[in-house]
Amino acid sequence: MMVSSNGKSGRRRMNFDLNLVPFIDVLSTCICFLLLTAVFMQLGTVNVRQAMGDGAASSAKEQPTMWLRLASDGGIHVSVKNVKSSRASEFLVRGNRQTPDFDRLDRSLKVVKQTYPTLATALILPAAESRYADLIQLMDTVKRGQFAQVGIAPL
Amino acid sequence: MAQVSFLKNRVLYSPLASQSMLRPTGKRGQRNVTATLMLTSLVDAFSILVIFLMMNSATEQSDFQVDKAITLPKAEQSVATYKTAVVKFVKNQMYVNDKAIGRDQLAGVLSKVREEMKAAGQTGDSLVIIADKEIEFSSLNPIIVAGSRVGFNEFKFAVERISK
Repeated sequence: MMVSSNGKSGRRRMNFDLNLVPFIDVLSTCICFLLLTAVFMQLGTVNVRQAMGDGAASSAKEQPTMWLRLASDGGIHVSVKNVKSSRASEFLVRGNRQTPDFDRLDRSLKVVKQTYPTLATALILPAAESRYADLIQLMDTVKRGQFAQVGIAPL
Repeated sequence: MAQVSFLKNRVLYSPLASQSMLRPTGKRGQRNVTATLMLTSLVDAFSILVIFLMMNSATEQSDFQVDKAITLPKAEQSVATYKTAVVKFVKNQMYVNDKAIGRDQLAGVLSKVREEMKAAGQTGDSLVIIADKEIEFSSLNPIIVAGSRVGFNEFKFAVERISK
């Protein structure tokens, strides 16, 4: 369609150029703000209840409980107590060069959970020389094995 | 013979002056030396960066701080924690809510902290423990024993969250 302007014949431009410079300014401001407020290391907590003396945990003495004793050589002695079963309820997960074998423990805990589906309480007994990182990983492995109530016993 | 500067015999052409709309100088029809900058790819990169940073800030964060001297252990089954008493163990020194204390003062200080938390309307049942991943459990045992003695029945071990 021909649109005349000032008496002169000619087509009116229907296209326009989008000015991206203000958009880049806004994006730069957003990036600066988000970089200042960004957190690149996520912090959380692994929550446990204290056993041996706590009112809530003392009832664990009667209900089925899995005890995990962390030895200084990296071995983890697992025993299930207060259960009625003809199957063996104790086993040892040997460590690998002073480091606990958590992959093997994970597989073993899956078997324990299949054997005792209602078992939900676990108590961890660390040794004095146990590494804090090993203790945390042990708690993490137990929680991953669908044991909701995890407790820790002091020395 | 008067000396004439060689500049008077030279005509200096300015690319910017030749682009002037009012009084263009230099040769007309001169070749345009300005270059256009493509901003589309820059906008794409900035958009992706903003979306990534917005997704990163959307996750819930715990509100306690960790010293640079501490390397936290890592765990998957962890949750965010807010507004509770914090005990740090850094270089054989204990800190309760960022105040340095001795081992013999631990139970007394934790008892006061728990009372303050209850007065502030909090439950006062949980205690956060921050320590380096390489220390032995015997260093943390006094904290657990003292904490349980004064009434803390839930212990929260600070970790670096890793994705499942």
